[in-house]
Amino acid sequence: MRGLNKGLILIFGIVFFISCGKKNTESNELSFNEKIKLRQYKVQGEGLYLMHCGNCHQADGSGLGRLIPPLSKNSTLMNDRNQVMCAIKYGLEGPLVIDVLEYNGKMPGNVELTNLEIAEILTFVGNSWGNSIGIVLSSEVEKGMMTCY
Amino acid sequence: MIDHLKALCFLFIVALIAACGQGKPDKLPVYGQKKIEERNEEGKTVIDTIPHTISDFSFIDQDSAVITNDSFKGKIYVSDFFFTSCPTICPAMKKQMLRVHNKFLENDKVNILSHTIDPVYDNVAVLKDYSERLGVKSSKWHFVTGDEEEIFDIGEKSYMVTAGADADAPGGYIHSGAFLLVDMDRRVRGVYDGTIADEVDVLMNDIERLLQEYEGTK
Repeated sequence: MRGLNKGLILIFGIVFFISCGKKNTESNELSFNEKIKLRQYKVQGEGLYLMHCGNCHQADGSGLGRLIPPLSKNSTLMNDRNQVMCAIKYGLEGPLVIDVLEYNGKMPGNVELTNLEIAEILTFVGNSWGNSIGIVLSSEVEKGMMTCY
Repeated sequence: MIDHLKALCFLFIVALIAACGQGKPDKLPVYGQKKIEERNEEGKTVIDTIPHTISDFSFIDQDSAVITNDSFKGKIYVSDFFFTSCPTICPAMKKQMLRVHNKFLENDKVNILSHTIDPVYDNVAVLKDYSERLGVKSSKWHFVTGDEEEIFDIGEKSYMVTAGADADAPGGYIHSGAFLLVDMDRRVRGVYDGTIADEVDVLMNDIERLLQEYEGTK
């Protein structure tokens, strides 16, 4: 009886490990694809960032004093993506408080950017310099754009 | 005997390296077209070459102080052209100029002169706000405004950079991102791309060289 019990536990254990192992490989495959996509978005996003945003927000995202807010460790970026994507597309003007500091400038819009391009820029910025918001898909930007104004 | 020769050769090489190492570093070049002037001195015709110099100017800075050539007497300064609402290269230039400012913060002999090329919008109050937000705490960095014609003119003719209104350019103005190093005798001694960190490294090194040049003559 004891031997049977031991055998049962062993079989149970093996089944458990196999099923868990299978689950693990499945999720690894998924995150592998996501990782590639994240990387693609980041690479594309970096080029677009340097072209459209880097002059002011600087190549390292450090901003410029209290004239231009930094994008590194920027809590608005982490918490309110919709506001950020609207700002990228349509610009931003007037007083703005980000992480206790007050800014009062004018950010020009980039109406020529597509939803995919904005998603790529956001993915790059959102996963650089200490930010980690994960991938931003163009479908999310499409929805976010409806909230502008 | 061979050992002696070897030792002699070694000594010779050491002496050569030491001698070469002590050579003075080259002086910075003087930029711009030289003028050739003929003068009459005690009945003789004397031909003189006059280097290109910054012409007389008078502008107003962020503290409402009048800034002229005399403000930089006995000082060297770095000059550039920008405007506060500039969406293109200015923020990158200002980031780099901040590095220059911070590096020579304690040295009164090094000043900075930033001209706005949009003086109608960039009045004293706007420049004051801009400099404070930028984080400029010293009095060595002057942000100046003034007569538009005079600013464009001194940019083109004295500092040899492009600066002017252009409706097609982003923000309405076209201008160069150059930093100009001006010596105590109003001469341009260096031109650098103010948007590139490496070039600004060279500028900061050249500032030291230029200061040494003046120390050497005293």
